[in-house]
Amino acid sequence: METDVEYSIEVNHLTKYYGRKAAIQDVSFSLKKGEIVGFLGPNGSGKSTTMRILTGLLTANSGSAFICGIPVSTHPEEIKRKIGYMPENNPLPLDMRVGEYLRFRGKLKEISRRKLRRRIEYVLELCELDRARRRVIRTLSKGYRQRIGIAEAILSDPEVAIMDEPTIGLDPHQILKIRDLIGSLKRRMSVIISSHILPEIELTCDRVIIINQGFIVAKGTPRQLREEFLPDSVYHLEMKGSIEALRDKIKSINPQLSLLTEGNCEFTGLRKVTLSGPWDGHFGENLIADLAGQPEIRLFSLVHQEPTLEDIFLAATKRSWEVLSDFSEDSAQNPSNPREEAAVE
Amino acid sequence: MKHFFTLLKNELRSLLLSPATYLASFFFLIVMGFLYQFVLESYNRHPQELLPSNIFLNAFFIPVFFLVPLLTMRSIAEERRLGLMDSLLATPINSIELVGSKFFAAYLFYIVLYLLTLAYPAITYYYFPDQRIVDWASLTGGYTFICLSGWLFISIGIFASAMARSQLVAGIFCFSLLFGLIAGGKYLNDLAIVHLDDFSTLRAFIQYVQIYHHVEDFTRGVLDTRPFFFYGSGSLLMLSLAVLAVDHKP
Repeated sequence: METDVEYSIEVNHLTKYYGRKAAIQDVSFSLKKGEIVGFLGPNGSGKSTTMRILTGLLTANSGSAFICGIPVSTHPEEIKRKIGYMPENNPLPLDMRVGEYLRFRGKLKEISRRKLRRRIEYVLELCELDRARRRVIRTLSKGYRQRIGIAEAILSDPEVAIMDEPTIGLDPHQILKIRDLIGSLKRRMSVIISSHILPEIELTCDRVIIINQGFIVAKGTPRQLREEFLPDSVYHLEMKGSIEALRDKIKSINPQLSLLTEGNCEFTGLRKVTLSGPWDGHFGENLIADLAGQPEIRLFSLVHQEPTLEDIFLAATKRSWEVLSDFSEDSAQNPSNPREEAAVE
Repeated sequence: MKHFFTLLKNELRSLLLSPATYLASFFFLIVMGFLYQFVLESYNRHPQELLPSNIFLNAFFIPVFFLVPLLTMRSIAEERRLGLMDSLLATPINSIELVGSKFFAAYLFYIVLYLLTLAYPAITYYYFPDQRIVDWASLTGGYTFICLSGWLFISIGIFASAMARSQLVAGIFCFSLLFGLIAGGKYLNDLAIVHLDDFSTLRAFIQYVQIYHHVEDFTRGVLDTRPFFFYGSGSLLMLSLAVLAVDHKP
């Protein structure tokens, strides 16, 4: 089957019901070759369901999914040769040794005997597991086990790696290692990762998809999402002097700049002020230069704070909840109103 | 079926490493040992219609009730509970290979355990080389029955495990199915209503599934093809249902 296609993953209008409850509805997205995409969403939002459909473990009620151009629903065995999957909670047979487990999985993934030895050496080295290859999995820490899960997912050098919460339950040191490990896969294979550790996603992923209550509520690069959901950037100032003078001055720098909050620090006696302005304004240099020349104002510090992915995630999910609750009220009055319209809004 | 032997090897390995396997083997051999001793003692006290080996084999159901659930309950239910089933089924294997490997691993172990019980008549024969005490012909017939019926009993265990998420539930479900098949069939056959002329078809069916009759026939050297069909088709049916359960039960 032809695999020379632009997209490694293509999902079109996927819907899955558990009984009468929709787990995901009208989910569509795509991944280019070599791209790393973060799949974010609160618990129960439909991340794992989408991933299980992509791996062929679940069938969707409607819509279509393609892995390297191959339809998942009609060729589940074919697509399983193209993917590496790390399920949620990373289940591992605890009584096996690391090397033994990778050899077993490699045979199931139809890797030739000669290639398997090389691949095992490679993934053990990449995931820093070479010293643990003879250890029984039960005796290893959570961080090691997560790395075994990732090593297994990339063992067959798949075109697509699907990882469901690869950093869950790890300490910051371990998260850092896993982040570097996933980052090293960039351009080698397409990776889709679901995670709650948003800074990790931001640092590792090319694009982000946010899903909430079964609907995709946002997708794009972190920059695009910032522009869409939190178009303002924030500046924190520490100063002494007149607030009124500051207010006048910032208006002269840019009329869109506004004073958000002001307060006093008990220990230093400095005023703490928060300013807000357009995200792409880059007013830091102007603020320093202009405020430094003001006799009524003494500027002690200025910090530019960009909205984090966490802020974007909260803004996107909040907006979708508001839309959905508005829809619930509407649908109580008018039951024929399609839910999809509310989601697209 | 190219992954079958890889999966089978892994299943045998995990059966050999599982404490439940050794627990089941230990109790099985203890129970069978006591059973054989009891049969010999009763033969020594009073004259018996049947040979000791026949009586010993007729009590096959006692260990089956606990051995089969213990050997099979973990196979699919536990893997599903731990999430290992998902990661296995995300590789290019299919559920037929998966269920087949679990069935054959448990079946091989079941057969090995029963073959170990041949040591009891062998030891007896070593000290008392008398055909009236150890009849190798009826033992051959009886062990052929055990190999044959094992298909169905183990496949029932695999089916029960495929239906459950907890190995305890799988074990109880398997025990209930085996009890219903072995003891329930005998109970139905003893009901007076079944022997009325109006129920001749039902009676014929109930007698067809009389496992007690099958074992008696085999130990007497009567090799009928119908039990082969019954155990073979019953086993295939149970394994097919197990495959469906693996495919469709999340």
